[in-house]
Amino acid sequence: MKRVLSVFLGILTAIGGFVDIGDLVANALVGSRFGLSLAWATLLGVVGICVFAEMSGRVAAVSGRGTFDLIRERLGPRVGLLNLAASLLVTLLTFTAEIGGVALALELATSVNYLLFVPMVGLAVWLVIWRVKFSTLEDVFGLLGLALVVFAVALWQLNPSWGDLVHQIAVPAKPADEDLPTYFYYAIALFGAAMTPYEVFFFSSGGVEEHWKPTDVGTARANVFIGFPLGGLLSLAIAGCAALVLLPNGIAVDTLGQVGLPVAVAAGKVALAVAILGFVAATFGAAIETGLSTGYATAQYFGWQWGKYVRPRQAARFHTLVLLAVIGGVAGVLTTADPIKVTEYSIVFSAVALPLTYFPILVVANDPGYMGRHVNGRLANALGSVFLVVIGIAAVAAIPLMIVTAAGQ
Amino acid sequence: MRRAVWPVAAALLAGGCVAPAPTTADYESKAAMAADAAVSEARTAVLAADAYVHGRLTAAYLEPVLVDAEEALGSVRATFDSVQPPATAGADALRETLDPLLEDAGSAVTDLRIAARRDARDDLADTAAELSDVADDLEAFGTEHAT
Amino acid sequence: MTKRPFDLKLRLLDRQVVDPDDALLCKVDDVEFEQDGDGAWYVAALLSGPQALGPRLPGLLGRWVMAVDRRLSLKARVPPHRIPFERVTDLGSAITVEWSDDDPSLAPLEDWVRRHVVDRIPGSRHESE
Repeated sequence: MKRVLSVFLGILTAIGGFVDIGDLVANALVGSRFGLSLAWATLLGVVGICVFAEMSGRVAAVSGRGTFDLIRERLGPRVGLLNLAASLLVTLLTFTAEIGGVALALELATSVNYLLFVPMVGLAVWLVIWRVKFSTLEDVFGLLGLALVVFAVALWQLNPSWGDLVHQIAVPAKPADEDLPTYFYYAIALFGAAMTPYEVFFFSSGGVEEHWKPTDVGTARANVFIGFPLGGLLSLAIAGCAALVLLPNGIAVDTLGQVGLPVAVAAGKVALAVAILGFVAATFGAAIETGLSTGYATAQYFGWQWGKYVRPRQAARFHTLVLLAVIGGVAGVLTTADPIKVTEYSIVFSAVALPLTYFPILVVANDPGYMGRHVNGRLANALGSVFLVVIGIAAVAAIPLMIVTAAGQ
Repeated sequence: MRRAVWPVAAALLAGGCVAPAPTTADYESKAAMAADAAVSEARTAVLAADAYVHGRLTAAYLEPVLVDAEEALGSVRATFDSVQPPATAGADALRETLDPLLEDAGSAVTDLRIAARRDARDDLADTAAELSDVADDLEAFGTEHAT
Repeated sequence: MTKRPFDLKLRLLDRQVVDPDDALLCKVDDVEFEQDGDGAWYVAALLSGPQALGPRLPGLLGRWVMAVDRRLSLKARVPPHRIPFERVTDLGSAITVEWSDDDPSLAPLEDWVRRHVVDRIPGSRHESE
C-alpha cells in the first residue's frame, strides 16, 4: 500500500513538475497565434522527453551515475567540456527565465513591480536548495504545480467544440496570416520547451539523490510514462485556452498576464488565484531544478562530490557553484531584460543543445557493461534513434529559422 | 533587385526595430504590422477591463496587465513614428490614418489604468467600450493593408 | 584475470573515483604507467586534478587550466594528485579506492571553499530537512 502511494505521489509530482516558464510561455504564445495547429510539436516533444527521461532514469538507477558523469566518460574530456559549456549556458538562461517568471507571477498577485521581488526570489531559491530535503522539495512543488490543472477546467468551462479542437490537432493547418518559417520556428520552440535538457540532468541526478536501485526502475517508468504525458496535456490545455480566448481577439501573447487571462475570463477570480499559485509553484520549482542542475552538471564532469543527500560542507564546491548561479540568475533578471523574451530564447537554444545531452544517454543505455540486463530493448533503441534524428533536425534548423523570422516576429 | 535586398538586410540587422522604409509598399507593410501589434495590446486591455468589471479578475491582476499594455502601445507607436515615410502621397495618407488611431488606443489604455487605480468601474466599462471600437478600426486597417 | 584485453580508455579514463562509503572523490583524469623488471608496462597510479586534466584539454585552454592551478597553489612544484593503483578495490561503473582523511587531499579547492565559503554560512553542517 505504501509503495502504491509513493508511486502515485511520484506521478502527481511528475505532472505538476512538468510545466515550467518555457512551457507556459511557448504554449500560450503559440495557442494565441496558431491555435492548436502546432499541438503536434508539443506531443512530439512529450514522447521524446519520455523516451530519454526513462533511459536516463534507468541508467541512474542501475549504475548510480548522473548524466554528465557518463557524458564525459563517453565523449572524453574535450567534447565533454564543450558539451558542459553549452549545457550550462542554456541551463543558466533557463534559470534566469524561471526566476523572472516567479517574480512576474508575484507581480500579478500583488501588482508590485516584479523587479522588487527578484532578490527575495533568489534568496528563497537558494535557501530551499541549501536546507530543504530533496524529496520534500520535489513533492511540495510538484503537488502545488498541479494547480495548473485549472487551465483544463477553464478550457472545459469555455465549452469549446471538442470535435473542432481535435480536428485542429489531428489535421494541422498553418493559419493563413503566418508564414511557413515562423510556423516551424515555433514548432521548434515548443519542442525545445517540452524537451529542455535540464529536465534530464535533474531527473537522473534526482534518481541518484534518492538512491534509486535497479528495483526502482518500475517506479521511475511509472513517473515518466504516466506523469509526463499528463503534464503534456496541461501544456495543451494552456494552448487551448489561448486559442479559444486570445486568438479570436487578435491578441498575441507577450506577457505572463496574458497567459492567465483566459482563466479569468472562463472561470473567474478564484480560478485565477489558483492559476497564479500554479505559476509561482511551477516556476519556483523549475528555478530550483535548473539551479541544482548547473551544480549537478559541473560537479559530475569534474568528479566533485555533489548532491543534497550529503551535508552542504561535504559538497562545498557544488554548493558554492549553485550559490554563484543564483547570484548570476538574479543579476540576469535585474538587467531588466524582459523575462518572457529570455524564456523564448532559452527554449530555442535548448533545442540547439538537445543532441549534446541525448546522444550520450542513448549510447550508455546500450552498454551492457553498465546496464546488465537493464540494457535498452529494441523499442527503446528504435524510438531513441528516431528521436535523435528529429532532435538533430531541430537543432540544425533552430538558429537559421531564428534569423530568417527575426525570432518569430 | 539590388534595392530590394538592402531593406531586408537592414531589417535583419536592426532586428526590425528602426529601419528606413524606402517605398510606399514597405511603409504600408510596417504600418500594418504596427496596427496588428496595437490590436493585440488594446484587446488585452479591453478583455482584462471587462473581466474586472464583471468580477472575474482581481484589481491586483488588472493593473500590471494595463501597465504592460500601455507601455507596449507606447513602444509600438514610437517604433512606427521613427520610420521615415517615403515622400509619397500614399505614405502620408497611411500615416495620417494610423497615427491618430495609435494615439487614441494609447490614451484610452492610460484612461483605463487611471480608472482602475481609482476603482471607477463605470469609467472602466465606458473606456473599454471606446477602446474596443479603436481596436476594431486598427484591426480593419491592419487587414486592409496586410501584405 | 581473463585474456580479453582490458580497454583502459573505456574502463578507466574519465571514470568517477569513489571511496568505500561511496563518497565522490574525483575523476580519473589520467593514468601513470611504470615498467616492471621484465619490461612490461603496468598502471602504477590514477592521476587527478587540473595538472592531470590540463594536458588532455586542447592547447591554450589546457595550459591555462594548469597555469591557474599553479597560481592558486602555495608550493613551487605542483604535481597531479596521485592514487597508487594498489588502493583500487573495485572497477565498476565507478572506481572504488581505499582513501582516508589521513591521505593527501585529492581536492585542495574543495578544502579551500569549505573553509572560506561554505563553513561560514549557517547550516552547512546540518542534514537537509
